[in-house]
Amino acid sequence: MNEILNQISERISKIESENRKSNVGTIIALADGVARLSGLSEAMYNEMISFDDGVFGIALNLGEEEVGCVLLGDTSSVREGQEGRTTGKLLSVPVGKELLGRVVDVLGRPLDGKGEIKAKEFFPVEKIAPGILPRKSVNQPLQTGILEVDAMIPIGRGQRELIIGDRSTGKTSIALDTIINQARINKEGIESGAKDFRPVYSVYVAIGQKNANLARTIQLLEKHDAMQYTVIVAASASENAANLYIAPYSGCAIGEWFMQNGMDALIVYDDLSKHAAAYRQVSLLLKRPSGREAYPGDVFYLHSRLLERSARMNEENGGGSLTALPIIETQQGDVSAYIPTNVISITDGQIFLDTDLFNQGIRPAISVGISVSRVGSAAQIKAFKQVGGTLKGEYAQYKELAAFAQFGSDLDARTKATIEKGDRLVEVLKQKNNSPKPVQMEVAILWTLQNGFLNDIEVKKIADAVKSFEEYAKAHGQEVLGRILSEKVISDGIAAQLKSLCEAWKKTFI
Amino acid sequence: MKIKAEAKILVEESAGSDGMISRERVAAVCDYVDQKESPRRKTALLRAYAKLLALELKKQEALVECSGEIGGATFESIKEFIKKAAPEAPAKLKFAKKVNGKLLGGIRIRYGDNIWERTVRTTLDALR
Repeated sequence: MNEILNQISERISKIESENRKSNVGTIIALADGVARLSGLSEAMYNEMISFDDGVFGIALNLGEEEVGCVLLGDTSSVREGQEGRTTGKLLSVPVGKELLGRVVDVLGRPLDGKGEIKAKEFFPVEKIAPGILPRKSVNQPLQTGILEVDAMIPIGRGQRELIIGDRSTGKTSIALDTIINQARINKEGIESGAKDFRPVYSVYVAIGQKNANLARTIQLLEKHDAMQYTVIVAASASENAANLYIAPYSGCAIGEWFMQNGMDALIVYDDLSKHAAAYRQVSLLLKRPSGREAYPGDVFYLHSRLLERSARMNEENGGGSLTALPIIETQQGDVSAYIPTNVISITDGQIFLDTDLFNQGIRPAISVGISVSRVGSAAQIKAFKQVGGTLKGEYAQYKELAAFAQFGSDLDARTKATIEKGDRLVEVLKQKNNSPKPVQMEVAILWTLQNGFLNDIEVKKIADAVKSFEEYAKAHGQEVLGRILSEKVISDGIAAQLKSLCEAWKKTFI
Repeated sequence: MKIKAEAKILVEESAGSDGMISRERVAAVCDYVDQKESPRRKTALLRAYAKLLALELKKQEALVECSGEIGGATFESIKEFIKKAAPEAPAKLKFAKKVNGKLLGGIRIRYGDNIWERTVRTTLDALR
């Protein structure tokens, strides 16, 4: 009994000591989720301001006479003349494994109706990125399960790889496939009980998306059993611009917790174009001076400070990592617009998706020529380098020759062979949505192609051949696939096993 | 000189050596503006002056709210508390008392933009 009473009095005294002093201001203007308050003379930059009915805001403009504050959450109860109080706290969100499998808003409050999130820790939304010393260069792969990406544009843990393209070119699909693939790898790794296995947890930040699209994404992740390793931070199109502005930072704080605690995490920002537009709206409402395309002067800093928080930490600092996949939507394929060029320059590479390729049925519609991973082969297993090291060059050569061959001139045997191999390569790289491949299977497929086992198959039948090979390898080649995964290199023994597997499969494929 | 900067100087001039703003000094400042400035600038300057003066006047008085009447000794100790907690307050700071039943119990002191509060109402709100 006494313990219970003590607990209550402790809680009361804690609250009392908390609310002893506060600095207040009065709302003098309120519009579109932005409030201007007179007073608040002691407010700090980025400090949380509390209003009645549990509404919070962030002080973003500190003027001599007034403070500009963006309001978060449902702001319908806020009125002019109401008081806002300083809290002495920076905006923080709950973090930890308790959030896995949950859909939360920008303040970390549940949106999925699955009950309260009992998080033990909170992380500030805005945080300075790790410096140089605690970092380590990226050297561990993050398998996307997309053959074209893993072979030619490899992504490493701790890397920032931009996914850029016009609307409806499959940007979100690449990110979601990566999340689904991480869930598959996590499940297999945890089941295998390997001591050195490091699961990758995913955070998907939906910025300004339609609720219907978001619901579809959740359903997809649930269908592939990926939600248990994923946190979704949602700021839908119906929310005010301030929520959209904060959302990626909230997601980043959630992802950072995994990194700071020695784990690996992946974060998808879908998408930063809408984020920049939301920030432009907030800035204009705060009457900040506008620059190019009406974006404020600090729009570069907006994204650079966010993406710099993704890092690979060294062993002394836990060895965790946060890999970022920001998404940018271009208009008419224009990568030289303001926001795309900014984000291209911040990230460690980009996957460019081309509308023309998409319409030609080449999916994923990755334009290999202008896609790049600046981390390169440091983030690839050796087996991949063996089978895919020359792939990008061959593909580029094929593209050049294929364009030339369209004129219908006579071609020499060598050019013909290059074009034929290229045609087959394009077919091999085609991959259906939401069907990421295990790394050992990707290596085996490329080995088959590189060693001429697909040369005598018609180009239009290549997709069927790859599918048939996958099924055959799953049924009869588990040993060699397992060896590729564990040894991570194609030794002579593995090559011999692959050869006999391919020869046996060829007899079954008509 | 810019209007805002000039209005600031006028506010400073409105306060006496004790830091308190007096009715006479404000009237003198208004007369000065009336005589020296052009009609167009005059209005803008007086508006800016009034805005800044309102903020300054907030710092000239402390409001002590309580759910019941406060005794003399308690009120004196509250005065001492404010002088310590807000050293920037003028020496002749005015104190006002107000009974506010909505507090349900406890005390709330307001000086400038700051509020010191320990009331049953805020505790209940926080628990809610």
